[in-house]
Amino acid sequence: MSRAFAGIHAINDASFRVEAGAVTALIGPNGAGKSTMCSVISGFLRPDRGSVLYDGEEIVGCSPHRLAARGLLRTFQTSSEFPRLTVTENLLAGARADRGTTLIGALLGRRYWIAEERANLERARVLLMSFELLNVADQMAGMLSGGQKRLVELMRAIMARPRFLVLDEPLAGIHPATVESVIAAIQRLRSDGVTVLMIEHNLGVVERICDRVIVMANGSVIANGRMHELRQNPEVIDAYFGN
Amino acid sequence: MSSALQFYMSTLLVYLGVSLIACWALNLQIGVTGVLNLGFIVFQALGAYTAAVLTLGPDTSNGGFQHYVFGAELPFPVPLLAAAGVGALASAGLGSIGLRRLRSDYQAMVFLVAAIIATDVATNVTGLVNGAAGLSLVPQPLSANVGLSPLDYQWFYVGLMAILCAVAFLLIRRLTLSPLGRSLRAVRDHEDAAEALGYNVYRLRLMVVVIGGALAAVSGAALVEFIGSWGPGSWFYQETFVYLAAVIIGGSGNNIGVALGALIVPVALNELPRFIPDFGGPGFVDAMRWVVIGVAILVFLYFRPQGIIPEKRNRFGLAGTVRHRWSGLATRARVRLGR
Ligand SMILES: Nc1ncnc2c1ncn2[C@@H]1O[C@H](COP(=O)(O)OP(=O)(O)O)[C@@H](O)[C@H]1O
Ligand SMILES: [Mg+2]
Repeated sequence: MSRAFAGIHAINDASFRVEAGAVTALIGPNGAGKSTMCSVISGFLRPDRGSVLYDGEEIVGCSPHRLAARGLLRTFQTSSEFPRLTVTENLLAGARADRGTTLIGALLGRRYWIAEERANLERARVLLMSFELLNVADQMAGMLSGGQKRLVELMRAIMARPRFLVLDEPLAGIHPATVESVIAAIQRLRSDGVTVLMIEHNLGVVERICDRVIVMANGSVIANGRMHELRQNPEVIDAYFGN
Repeated sequence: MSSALQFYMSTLLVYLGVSLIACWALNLQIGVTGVLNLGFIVFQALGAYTAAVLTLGPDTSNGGFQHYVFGAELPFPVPLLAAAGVGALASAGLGSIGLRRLRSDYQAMVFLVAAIIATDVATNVTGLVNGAAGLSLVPQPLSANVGLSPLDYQWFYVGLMAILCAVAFLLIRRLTLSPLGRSLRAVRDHEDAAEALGYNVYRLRLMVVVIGGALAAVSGAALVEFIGSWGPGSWFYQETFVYLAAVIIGGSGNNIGVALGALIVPVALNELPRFIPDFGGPGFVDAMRWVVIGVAILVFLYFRPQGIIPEKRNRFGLAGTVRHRWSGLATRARVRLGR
């Protein structure tokens, strides 16, 4: 695919496959077009040319909410919590609530949707516990630290039960002591059969948890393979490790 | 209480009821969902006109001194319900144009411009709703049937308003306290993140515009059935800012706070001056009204943007420190819910 912004070729004839059930890293220097790629995949941007196949189906032109309903979830590079919702509410907003979020369901009242709400609440509690964030469960998400906001966003996406999760720099701004819980969460997702595509700069982490790595530079994919192979690739060394 | 005072009080209470319904509706749009509907007043006006022409009968009655479309003489709750329907339809129409592809500040402009155009149309297309002169002599509902003295009828109408308010409040409360209400607040807080999680942001916004439009129309219908007249002067686009001020001052997003705002702003600043004698030259009191409302909005946005009673934080008590009434995680809550 290709996508330009007022003459800047953010994505320039880039092409790659993401293997189902694997964790794939998307790496590359700043401005390489990684975030633009996320937005095109998740339906927020239309490519100028090219296509995106999800489960073998063309999804260019699908709106983000329809893709989310089909299990394709994304997070954002900048923190995008719901600031005036509590942490728990942020998580619940991610969960599917087919009864309580319809107009009829809401008007029918609490009895109609409370069971679903309780089940989601229990999942939220387990997730918050795994990130050691139970203590801020009732705080407004807007009051959290930058790193905590990123965690809330990750948990919120997990609550949505993704099949394909696109994470834009999930570790940026995360406290070093918490990095391990994010890694554990991603590994849990993989063992649950979720496909993950993550943009990440920390190559140590990439080497540990990613099955495959895609390297972008100047809008193009310059390499695609396993981390240890890429370390020997002169083009990658030049574009990424060089300076 | 002297009967003059009773007239005064009951009239204020009816105005309060109208403001309550309108403010809750506007709060659902602006405070809860973040849809800046600056043309809100149009839907109140539309409801008032609808109810008026469906109560007045054909425009040849009363000597044919006023001209309007669709004249009919329908029994009481029908004009009110029809107003709700027309309000919903019109807001669906405007919403589907204004909300689809635009960001929220542009949406606000679409609504504002629509309000200005609508006043011009109602004023200049004289056969529509009698132009600048407006409609008058709208009979009060059931006044012929209940056989009450004028003063008792005032209180009867206060009772009708109370019922309407209760219904509107329960409806809005169910909406805002449900998971759907949470989705609406998510849309308000971060539209892209909400979309990314699977919420159809356009549809949710359209939904609150339609529900709010129907409620606004009901408030207008209830008002015109009480005061008996309605014209372009009742709904210049600025009137939306009276309700907007009520929402901001009372506490955007909080239905109780907004009720307080509806008491303070439209009733105290907008209606009370009508009862005080004019001073400082003709039109001075009226002009000061807008100054006071404008300054009040600015002061609150600067110093207390959350309003007098801020939006309530919804605690679920997952940490075990506070027990949420719905969480069902704490034993005592489970017992109370019969589990
Ligand atoms: N909305 C936009 N408008 C204009 N230029 C943009 C926009 N988004 C990204 N770009 C440009 O596209 C290029 C790729 O950006 P991005 O995808 O954010 O890179 P990365 O995530 O790899 O750092 C950059 O040169 C950036 O300035
Ligand atoms: Mg980026």
